[in-house]
Amino acid sequence: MPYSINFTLPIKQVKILFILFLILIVSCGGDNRASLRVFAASSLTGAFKDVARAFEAENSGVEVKLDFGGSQRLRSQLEFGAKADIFASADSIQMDLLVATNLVSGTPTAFASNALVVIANSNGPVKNLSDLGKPEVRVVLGQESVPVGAYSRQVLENLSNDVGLGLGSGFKDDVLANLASGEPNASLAFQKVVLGEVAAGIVYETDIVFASETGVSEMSFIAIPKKANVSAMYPIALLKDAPEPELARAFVEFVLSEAGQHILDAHGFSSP
Amino acid sequence: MATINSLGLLRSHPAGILGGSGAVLYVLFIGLPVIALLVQCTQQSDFLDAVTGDSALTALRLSLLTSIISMAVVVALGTPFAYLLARSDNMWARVVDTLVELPLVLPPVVAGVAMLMAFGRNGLIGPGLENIGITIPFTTTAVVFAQIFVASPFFIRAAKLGFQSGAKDFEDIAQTLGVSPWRTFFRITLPLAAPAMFTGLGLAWARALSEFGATMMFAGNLTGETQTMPLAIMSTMETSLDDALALSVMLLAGSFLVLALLGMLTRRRWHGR
Repeated sequence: MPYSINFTLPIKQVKILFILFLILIVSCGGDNRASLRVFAASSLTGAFKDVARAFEAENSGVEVKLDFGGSQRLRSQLEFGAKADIFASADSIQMDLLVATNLVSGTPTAFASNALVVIANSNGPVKNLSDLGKPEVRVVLGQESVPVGAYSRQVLENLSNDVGLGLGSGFKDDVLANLASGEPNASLAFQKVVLGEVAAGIVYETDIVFASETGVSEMSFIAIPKKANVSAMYPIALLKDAPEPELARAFVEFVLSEAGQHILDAHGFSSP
Repeated sequence: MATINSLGLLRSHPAGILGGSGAVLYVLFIGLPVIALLVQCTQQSDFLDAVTGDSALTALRLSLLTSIISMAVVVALGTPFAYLLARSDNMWARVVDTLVELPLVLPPVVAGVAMLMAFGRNGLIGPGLENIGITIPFTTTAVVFAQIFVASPFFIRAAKLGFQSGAKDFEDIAQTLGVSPWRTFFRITLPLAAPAMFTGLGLAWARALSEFGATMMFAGNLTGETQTMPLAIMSTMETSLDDALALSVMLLAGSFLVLALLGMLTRRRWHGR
């Protein structure tokens, strides 16, 4: 007989589950600390985690909530109504776009600067810059729309145009032909090389510090000549709809203060 | 009823060999990545540190909280809806039926964009909602919205099939015996559909727990507010592969537990007493 009428709901089990859920939900009750929401470029991950910790230590009862991502993703989410107090971008392009949509309060301030470097697997085929353009070498860059991707393409352009370096005018196209993936943020580009999925990539100089801190081994960094490199300026700004404008102002001040700059310096950033 | 002897089928039937090798390949294909995840994870020493870390626990709590709320909403609203769908047979019912299944074929990222277009600051009804003080995008509510959007079809489909499978006759009998419609629904229809509903709930829950694309688009990635486990894994992957592995194993175990728990609830009913 396929059915039986005295089939009843497993009341007992359902009750147990229900009570478990109640306990869970109750235990999930939030705390009452004031929270500051900071949207920051993914290349700031290590540095801003430390900055946030130091800021929390100085301001008891404050919790800093961080969202790291490609600056362009953060910017577009802010435009679509994400509520945050602070935006720290990896380039002025994304910041200017946000300023143009009238979401920024006051003017953005440059608080750090960065440059690019080539990261390569020590056992891989890439030993110097020219190897990046050789056939069959798998290379990863940031997407063109994210700061690190735009900077990388600028650097490749500079390298191709510099006759003295002897890389040839087709260097940029050769490297782009080797592109295995365009990553949505700087950290993901870095991680693809560390995972060994590609031979090399262009990342931020601050990743050198990050690599040594996180114990990444078998990676080598190839410097990009200063005249062809970029100076990546990081602007920070308060947002108009900031739920915690006072705290936000204090946080920006802290980033610009000696203590804040010292933390950024320790993570490989230069002063703007 | 005769049971099929699968071993005999393997040996004698021509399709058995094909089916057997297919089964081996399939188990390897699905099993290998899962085993690889576990093997890689056990090779590291700081597994416990990673899963009990602040960000991991925050994300886990948020994942549990949001998925439980989503499932409560899906069950509360989806059950009567599924019953209605199961009992009606006209053009409109079929149109609605198709709409219900749309999220199954819609890429989650598209679902996220679509919800932004509806509830976002520049969306269809977003500005109106904002005027009366309701903000949905990039809040914990948005996480719940995204989960309900992508996971509800799993439950509604299963519940509808449960309601359709034969309960109608028993309902009719109960009605002719003078049992009230409400009592019939709770004492006969619902219990008969329960196993199917639990199965659907299990699938919907697992889907809600693993939701990524729509959440990323519509809710963002803010620690403690919208960063659920899958998003935390993605973010952790950017800084530490080991931690990401640990979180992945944790989510894998969680999803497995949900499925096993609901499987137990359903099976007990069929084979128990």
